[in-house]
Amino acid sequence: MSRRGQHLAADPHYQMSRSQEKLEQQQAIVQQLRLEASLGRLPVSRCIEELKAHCLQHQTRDILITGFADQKENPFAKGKNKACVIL
Amino acid sequence: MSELEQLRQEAEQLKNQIRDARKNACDTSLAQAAANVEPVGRIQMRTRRTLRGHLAKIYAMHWATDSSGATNRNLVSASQDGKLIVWDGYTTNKVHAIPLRSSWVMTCAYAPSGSFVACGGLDNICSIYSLKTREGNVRVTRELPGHTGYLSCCRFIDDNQIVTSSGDMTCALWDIETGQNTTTFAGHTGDVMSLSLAPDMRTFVSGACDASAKLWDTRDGMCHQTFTGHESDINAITYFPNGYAFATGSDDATCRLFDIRADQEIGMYSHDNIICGITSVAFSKSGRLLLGGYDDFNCNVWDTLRQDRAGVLAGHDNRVSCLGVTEDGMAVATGSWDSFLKIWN
Repeated sequence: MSRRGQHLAADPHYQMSRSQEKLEQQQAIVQQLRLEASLGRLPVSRCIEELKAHCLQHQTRDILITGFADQKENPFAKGKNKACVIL
Repeated sequence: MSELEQLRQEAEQLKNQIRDARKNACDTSLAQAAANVEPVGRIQMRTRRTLRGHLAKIYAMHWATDSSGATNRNLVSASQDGKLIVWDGYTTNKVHAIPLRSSWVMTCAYAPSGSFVACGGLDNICSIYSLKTREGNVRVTRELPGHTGYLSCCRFIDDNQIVTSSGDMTCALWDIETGQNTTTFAGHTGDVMSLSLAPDMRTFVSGACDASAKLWDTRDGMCHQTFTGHESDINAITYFPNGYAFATGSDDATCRLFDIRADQEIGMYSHDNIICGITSVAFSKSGRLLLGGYDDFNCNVWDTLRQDRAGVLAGHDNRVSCLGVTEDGMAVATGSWDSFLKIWN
């Protein structure tokens, strides 16, 4: 650090404002942790049951899983890509 | 003891409290609970369309929503060739080719109405483009400056509100009409790389280079939950369809599943053979499949419940940088540094 920088850093006013900053920072961290700690949590077993139920309920209609019974139903199938455009 | 010391101690106590509460809630594992679930079987998809036209790496893509028009199968892509291209996914026609003021673009988004697209990148600005001007051309309608770091991701809530994430470690909610940053979401201690809006849009999740994901209340700007577990930067994040969980992709070569109400990680998707980072993630419509775009040029398809790999989409000649599933779940699009987009189902 330069000599001028060292003088600045040693200035008691500067030191006080730096430690004030650290204090405020730490206060914010603690406040955020208090908020997060106060959360109610559901058991993982129940959460997974709901995820499972959602998947199983909807996956029979999930095209990326079931595919198309007939490729004619697939809007992206070959031969379907030439649409007429009115200019 | 100084006040600072007291606060540091309290922080440690609270962290322990949170860790213990999560442990108490953890009464089973996904592996155990899903052991009796029928495997989803081999997923084999084919490339149905290849979208050619970009001249450089593609960094981002986003499908239009179904609400923007019954037969709307448009998507927008952003490339470091300095263009946004809006494509018709069915015909592969370019609906719009939009030259950008800055070619260093990292993200793009389609408004749910279909009337706007947005993008941003190393210019630190989120630019809004109107696709439906009276004159019939596409132009910038608003620039949203304010971030002091790059724009990594943006998502429209509606035509007048957009959420952004940035390398300046914050996210922001903007009023597009006034150009004002109405809410700032601060708390991450690393570049925020990605965000995902909840289905009801009241909350969103963000993933950052501090290896954590955070859940935010869109209205009040508060971070309600912080999720740890990843061992490196989180590059991608996406909500599970029911809004109660989300998945992440990271440089630590894993994707993970986090449950919001259990407040913890519940699943991990990895393999000893996979040692490269994940750039992008998306769920299939039911949530049963989790797709991830990888640095090794592939897209892996995971069985969300059984945590096995169910398939691979191989076809790009460079890193897969982005991917997205259509709202109706019909197809998935991948974008790559090889300058092409592919549509698969």
